[in-house]
Amino acid sequence: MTFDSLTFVVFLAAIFGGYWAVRSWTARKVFLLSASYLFYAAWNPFFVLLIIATTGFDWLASHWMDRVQRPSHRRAILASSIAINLGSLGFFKYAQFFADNAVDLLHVFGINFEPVSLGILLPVGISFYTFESLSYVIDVYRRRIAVSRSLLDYGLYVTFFPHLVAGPILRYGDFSPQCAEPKSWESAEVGKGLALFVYGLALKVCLADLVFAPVVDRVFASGVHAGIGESWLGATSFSLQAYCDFAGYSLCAIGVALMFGFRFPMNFESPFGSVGMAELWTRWHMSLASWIRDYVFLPLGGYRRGRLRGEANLLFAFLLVGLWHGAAWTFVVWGGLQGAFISAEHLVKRYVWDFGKVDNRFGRAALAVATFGMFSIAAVFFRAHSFGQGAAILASMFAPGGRSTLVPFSEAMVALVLGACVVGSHILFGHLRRWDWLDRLSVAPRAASIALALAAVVFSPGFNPAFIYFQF
Amino acid sequence: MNRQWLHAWVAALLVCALLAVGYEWLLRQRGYLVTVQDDADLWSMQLDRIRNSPRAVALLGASRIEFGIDPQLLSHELGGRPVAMLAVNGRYPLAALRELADDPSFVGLAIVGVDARGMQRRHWEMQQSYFDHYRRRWTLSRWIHRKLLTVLQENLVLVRSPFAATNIVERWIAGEGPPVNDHVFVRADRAGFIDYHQPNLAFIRASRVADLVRYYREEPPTDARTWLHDLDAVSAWVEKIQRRGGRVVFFREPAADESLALDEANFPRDRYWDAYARRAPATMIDFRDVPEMKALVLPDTSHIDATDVPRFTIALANLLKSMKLVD
Repeated sequence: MTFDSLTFVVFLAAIFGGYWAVRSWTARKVFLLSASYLFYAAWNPFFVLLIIATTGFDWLASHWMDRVQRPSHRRAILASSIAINLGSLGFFKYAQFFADNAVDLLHVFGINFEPVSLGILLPVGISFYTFESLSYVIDVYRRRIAVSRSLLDYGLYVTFFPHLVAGPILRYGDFSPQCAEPKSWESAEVGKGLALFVYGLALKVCLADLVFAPVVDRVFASGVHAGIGESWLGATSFSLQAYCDFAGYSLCAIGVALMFGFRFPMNFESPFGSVGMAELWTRWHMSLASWIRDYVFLPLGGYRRGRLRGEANLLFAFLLVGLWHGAAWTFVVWGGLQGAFISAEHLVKRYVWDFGKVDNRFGRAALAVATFGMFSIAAVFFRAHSFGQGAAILASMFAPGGRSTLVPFSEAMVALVLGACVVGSHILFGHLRRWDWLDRLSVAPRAASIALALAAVVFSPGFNPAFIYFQF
Repeated sequence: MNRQWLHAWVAALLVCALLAVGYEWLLRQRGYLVTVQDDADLWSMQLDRIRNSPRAVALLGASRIEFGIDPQLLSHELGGRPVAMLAVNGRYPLAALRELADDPSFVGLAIVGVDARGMQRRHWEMQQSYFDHYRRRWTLSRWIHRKLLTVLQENLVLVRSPFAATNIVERWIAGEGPPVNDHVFVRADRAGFIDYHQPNLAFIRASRVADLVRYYREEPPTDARTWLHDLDAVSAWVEKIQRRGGRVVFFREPAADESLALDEANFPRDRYWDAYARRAPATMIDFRDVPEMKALVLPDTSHIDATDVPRFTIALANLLKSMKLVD
């Protein structure tokens, strides 16, 4: 049940009505938890059992960890919880990848096996809720947060339907106080939440699906060769498609949560207005970036053990980011490129030119466009079917003279104009953080923005392809 | 809800409703009709209907079946048997037959609308993605979505994808004008109807023939011996269905004039269709052997007009009954 389906519209209306009709706060949370399991069962009812089992295990493990005092025991409990969570993620998401690579590796040594198809179905959203569970048990172990006294609250933290399948990745420390505080109709920002939901839908169904995806599909189709212009068009269109798809989903999630009185963290904040890749990653998939920083990069030592070690830690963290996105080497290359770009940027800033200090408006805009270009170069590997295809498109992007006519002029024009609008709006309005500024607008511009987004949704009938990030 | 947000929402909904009503009116003024848009979800609903029913009739094929047979009428003519329209426009159906053979729950009658060209091995996989979709993506949630979408599409023109704002803008930039009115109507049960009483019929006919000429130029026919050899695998699928009580009919649907001549030139009936008929475990029906079907008019040389769909459907039902393929 995706946010852009009519099923979700019915589901949301029913759950919204039921939630506000129930008076007791505990009963409301039970209602939301049940609705969330129902939402998840819409994909595969069997996997509801998996999520219930891991939720229960982590909750019990955290309690046990809280009760025992000996550090070695606490470490053992933490290790078992991490092993269960990563084991589950590894089995469902990476077993086929490892099996395929093992077969390839053995082939190098002259041992030939037929590739095996394990036929494992990927539980939707497993990467997201596994990271949420891990952050909880690690934070309890570190004594950064109090152990959850309520299985209901913890279950809702893991399962609350707006964020369940594609984030934002929540932290229990942010979510649990919201579970303690009963919501009232007056305090819930229903109108604003609904507006954010519609803005997100417009990004997804109009821009991602109808404007950028067709261009990307043509350039990245198997067996075609794009020239320099269309390679750049395909790569930049994919960056924009991924943004509109995923930021659209995140915005829907934030909006829906707000309708129930819950606040989710921002996940995207005008990333294409960033000057430099390091800044971009503080505005792109922020909940994942901060998770990797807190639970991988900093525990590895960050930059505390010298610059060289720090850059190595950074590269490792980004390789993990790549692998988190998908069980394929193309994702690992994508992650590696992101890390390498940031490391290179550190060197340039340190020894050549600290472009972060440029305060000229046009200079910053040009740097933001250049950053968008860098991001798009790496994005080629995110979208490519294989390393070979990614390398071929990348080579075309830097081979002057190559021409192709894969994308009709009209499609290219619409993608270019709307792409420029998206990037331009990020550059111009990137200073506006969160969505609080919406409340300062008068009725007319609010109505205009909602009408524009609603019209974009209503006048974009299509075949609703799945959200890109559901595969993660 | 906060009063300012409430006002903003009311205003936005009013503006949007006005825009939608205006656009719908404009589209209807230009002669566009409401129609259900076919997709893999609508197809999956049809597949659901025939599983586990020994009396089920599965209509496999491509456009000639989808735009030629009325499943509701066929069901009525066959005494209320469930009939599922599984034909897919532009895709030959051999993968569908293989999938039904591998599905133990299918024990009904499969009518496979296909010609010798469509039986070539190179075209076998064309409908596989529909079964993959059914297995991997078809859920209750999608069923609800598709049901609601169908209701919208049965009542509004603007929810058809050719009328998406981006498409209109792209057509305008390309100088192509408004979307072509293809005069095709599809029902919720995937039965399609083409209205050939339209001014650009000559162009449609010429385009279809030109496409077929190009096809045969680019994809020369498989030689008869290889073609027959490849069909041994198809015979095995037929036997698999028939062993558990089901039946399979290969049905060569009507074609006329240039299309029929081109098909015959490339796949002579005696060396292909009839040669397979002599060894096939399935029942083989060629429209040329059925006077009521041979008499049908095919305006574009390949498909019948919507007004002839009942006649064609009843002719097929009578044929099935006369051949004792249904009781």
